[in-house]
Amino acid sequence: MKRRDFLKGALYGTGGTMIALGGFGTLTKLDPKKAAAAEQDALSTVFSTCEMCTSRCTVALKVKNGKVVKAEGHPNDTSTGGSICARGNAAPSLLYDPERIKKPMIRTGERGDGKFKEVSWDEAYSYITEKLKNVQKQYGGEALAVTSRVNPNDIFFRSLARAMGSPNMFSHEATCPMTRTVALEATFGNPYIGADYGNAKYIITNGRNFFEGIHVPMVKGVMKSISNGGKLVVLDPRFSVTAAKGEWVPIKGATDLAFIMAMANVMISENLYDKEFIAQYSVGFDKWVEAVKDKTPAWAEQETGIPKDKIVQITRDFAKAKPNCLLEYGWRTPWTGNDYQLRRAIMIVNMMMGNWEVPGGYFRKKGAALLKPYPELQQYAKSLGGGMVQPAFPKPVKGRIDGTGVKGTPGQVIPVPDGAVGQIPESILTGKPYPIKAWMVYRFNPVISMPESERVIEAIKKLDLMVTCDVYMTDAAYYSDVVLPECTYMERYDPMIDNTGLTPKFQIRQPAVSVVYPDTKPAWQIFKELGEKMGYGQYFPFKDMEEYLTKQLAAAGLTLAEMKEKGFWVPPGMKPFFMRGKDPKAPAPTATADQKIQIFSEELEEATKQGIPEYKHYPQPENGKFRFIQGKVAVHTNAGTHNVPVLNELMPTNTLWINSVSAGKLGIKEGDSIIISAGKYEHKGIAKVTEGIRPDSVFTYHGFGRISPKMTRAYGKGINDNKLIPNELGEIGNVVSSTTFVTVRKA
Amino acid sequence: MAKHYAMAVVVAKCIGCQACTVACKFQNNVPEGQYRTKTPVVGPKGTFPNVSMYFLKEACQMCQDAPCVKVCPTKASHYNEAGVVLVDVDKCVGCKYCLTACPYDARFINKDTGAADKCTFCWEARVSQGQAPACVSTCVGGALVFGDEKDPNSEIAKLLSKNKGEVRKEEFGTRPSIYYIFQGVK
Amino acid sequence: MVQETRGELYLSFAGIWQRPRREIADHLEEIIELWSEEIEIPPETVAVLSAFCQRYPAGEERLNALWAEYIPLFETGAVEAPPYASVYLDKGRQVLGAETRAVQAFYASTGYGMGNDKQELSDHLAVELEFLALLARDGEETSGETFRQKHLLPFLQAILPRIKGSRRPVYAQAAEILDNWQLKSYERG
Ligand code: SF4
Ligand code: SF4
Ligand code: SF4
Ligand code: SF4
Repeated sequence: MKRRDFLKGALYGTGGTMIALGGFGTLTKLDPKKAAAAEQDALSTVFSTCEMCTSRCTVALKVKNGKVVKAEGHPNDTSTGGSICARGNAAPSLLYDPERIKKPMIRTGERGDGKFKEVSWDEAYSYITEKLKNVQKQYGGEALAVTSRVNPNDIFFRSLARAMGSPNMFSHEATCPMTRTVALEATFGNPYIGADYGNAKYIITNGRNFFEGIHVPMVKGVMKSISNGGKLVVLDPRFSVTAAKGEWVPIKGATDLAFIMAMANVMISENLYDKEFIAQYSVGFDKWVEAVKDKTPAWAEQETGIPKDKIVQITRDFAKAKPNCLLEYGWRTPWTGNDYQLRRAIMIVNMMMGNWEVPGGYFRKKGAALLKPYPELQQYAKSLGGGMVQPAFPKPVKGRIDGTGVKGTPGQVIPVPDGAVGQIPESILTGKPYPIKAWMVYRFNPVISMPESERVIEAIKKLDLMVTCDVYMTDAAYYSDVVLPECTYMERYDPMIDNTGLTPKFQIRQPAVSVVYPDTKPAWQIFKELGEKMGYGQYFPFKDMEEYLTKQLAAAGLTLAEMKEKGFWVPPGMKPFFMRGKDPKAPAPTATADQKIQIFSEELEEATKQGIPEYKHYPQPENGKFRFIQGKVAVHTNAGTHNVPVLNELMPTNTLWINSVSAGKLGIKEGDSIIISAGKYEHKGIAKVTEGIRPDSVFTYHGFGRISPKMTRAYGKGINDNKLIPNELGEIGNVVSSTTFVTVRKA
Repeated sequence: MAKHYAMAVVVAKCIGCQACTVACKFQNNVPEGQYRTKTPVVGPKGTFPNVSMYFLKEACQMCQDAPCVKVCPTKASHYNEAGVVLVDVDKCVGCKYCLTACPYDARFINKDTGAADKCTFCWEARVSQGQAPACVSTCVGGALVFGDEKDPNSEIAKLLSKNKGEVRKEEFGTRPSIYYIFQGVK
Repeated sequence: MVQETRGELYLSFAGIWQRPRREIADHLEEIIELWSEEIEIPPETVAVLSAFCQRYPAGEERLNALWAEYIPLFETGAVEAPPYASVYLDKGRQVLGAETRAVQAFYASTGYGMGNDKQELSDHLAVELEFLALLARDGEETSGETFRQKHLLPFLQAILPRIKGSRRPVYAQAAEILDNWQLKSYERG
């Protein structure tokens, strides 16, 4: 081509074909009528469901000129009272962030040197398909693992693995509440158990930090309880915001089970528990009596560092409030190897208070199946249907890498939808029980959310394929081969969100605006299109999300139009329902075969030989060492929001909390640069010298110290807790987060 | 009787979550790095393990005898028809007299408008339309109560009749409209 | 400068600031030639560009080399110079601000709008330049100048120093050249 022919041709057209458009075709000639219609100034409201964390609060998105200008709580939702937290409020800051990823990308350099090119969706799908087919051919479909933060698009994401014949589907839960899930399943037959905080008169929490790990309805409930004069006792090595609102009991780390068992011991020896309740509703109590017989307050004092009189006094006062008292079951729970037994013991002590299916107690979530047997409630018994009918998937040839589901082993009780995600890097690196060769992650950032960041990175580098689907170039994305840009929750539909509690509750997530970055897509669409490219179209039998939602809603007798207009649905006129609310002797079946509360669990006995919780002593830090603990902060979500401009501005970095006496011994002053050493790994940080922590523990907020330089605002700021914690799997495959000891020195 | 809009901060219920801080930013287009309100921590005070800590929401105190209004040479700072202290952006010349005069450090020069800025009680977009201010409506702890203090049936009047509401720096004689209730704070 | 040349120049820069694609990458030499003829450029600037062309001959390799510069500069994560006017000219430093709407409205007033595939935000640097190329072609001189004064120049003043300072050879040089043309020596044709 002659000089300048190219540009001339583009501008003036060659052979007349392009004259109408010209240029590169980015702009077109407009239909003048359409142009006028595009202008629309009025403030409108779109109801949806927040996804700045996973608590799924209902929201009202305010839209002006096609832009989300503000996120507010849904004014009609009594569970939130129309509030949303700082992260929820910050949603538009994420939506319009120029740092979001905008196009599919494929790596061009080495893993970790950050070189990518942008490609079309089709190229990205083809690339993934080819790599996955190779993996399948060479190693079998089971060499693919998929991991996501639990969310409504999982069904599509996981269909990809299922279609390939892989059983290796994981949620993030083993790094968070999985031990609680296991305990609830063992005790009640399923994990769908809620707590009625608002009506409780006495709440004890072992470490769950209601006011910093914010779930808006929960905050409202706990605040209602304490405002009405309820007592709040907070056992935590660190003085959290929650501790500041109650009585702080700075328990030694990893000894919570001793405190709980001593409570039971006191309740039994002083006859403080509800004998009739235990007799009517539970099985196996005698074994518990046996198990806690020697767990006296004096013994627990040795373990926990809490004076025995204090233990007795708390137990007595707590029992006085029965049944309107709650011993909190926890949320981020994988503290020790046998943490599931702590959660079990907590629920057993709760049940000793008869706080089951009464206001101010624990309750089963009231889905349609639970309501049907009650004639007066049948009218409210509605449930969502499926949005599609999938054909059968091929049966995986091999079992899972983490032993989930294997009878007679701990894997028997690992929840099948969750799995033990910590096993993935192990299988990649050791090839045991067989190697994982491809890993796809969606809304999950293993580099920051799983222990031992460097080991996770090392594992990723060994893979044949790593794919990340997210909204930012996360740390995992940075090391990936393919990065798929999802649009934010404000720009898409998702499958219906079931947020049932004391009544059924269904919520919609719907787009408030069309996608900001034109080439980002909803996850359901990404996985459907990828599935189709891979030849698995039959597993995605729906046209679009509106069709899918319409089907889901039809089963409940609802329409998409009304959901879109109202945002959420609860049965009109239905009051919160407790099975024992009117009559304390009324039937209150659990979901187990015998419908009783399993104080002794046959299932756990079979799986772990521990049908009743047994105490395990974990070492305490010797002199000069500290227990390393972590937690959540109100303005950030796990590893999710640290790069969102407004939230980053509020809290760009974290510090290491260290007790002033311990700091003094080390010559460390407030604001000093320090080095935290866990032996194999070290991390720089800044010291926060405080009276608000035990002298034998140090603390940091989670999710900081980001590794991906493509998250400018969060990159390298603060301490990445998971760099320091070794990837150790607990007795049932949970990660272990609170048994790491560190030393601290001035940098 | 004329209305008197006031806000009560029930300190025991404030969890320092900063939902108010962020809501205010979006409601009022407050520029990056600037704030009309923030809720910093006070403490922890004491010695391990006997410590205490609380949060104090800070913003313009809506003085009824406002030094900022008095010193403003252009009358940009003024009381509106409902007694709310506001800044008329067009009249403000950015002289910063009010910033110096305010005993509560509540004002700043807005980077985008160049005019003095501060909490407006969300007057234009919300309160004059019968809605609660953005910070109040999103408050997660339920610590903020807003309304007409002179209406005995209002939530705020009832709250203040039962609890002692303290004003900040009373000695300045500015007669603030923000009341802090410390009951139950350790 | 003749109108035709101005159109070509605008389009050449539009091509440069677009996401890298073969069509443009393979014609880099042609674009450099056009620039050296029509715009006053220091020889070392041309030398850097020519060196790039020699090191990465037209084809896949050159495209990837451009991607390696483009993504950190404009696109993902630690973007050194977000290519959207709104990020500079509006408060809030985010995309889709008042400037985006103003630019869109301007396009509409001259009968243009974003293409149906909506692959780009309307205030992307490449789109604004492509728009000016089209106006030049259409002979819409007055509109072109108004748009330039009101929208393009303030945007260039904010973004070009960042690109120039980025040490990304191709884009930094292209920014230098665009700066020379638009901000230093622009004369109406
Ligand atoms: S708690 Fe906050 S971030 Fe989470 S869903 Fe609710 S409003 Fe959103
Ligand atoms: S707090 Fe300051 S800005 Fe607000 S009214 Fe009083 S003097 Fe004026
Ligand atoms: S009343 Fe309005 S302007 Fe004042 S702090 Fe609250 S949200 Fe901000
Ligand atoms: S929203 Fe309410 S609870 Fe949260 S910091 Fe603000 S005043 Fe305190």
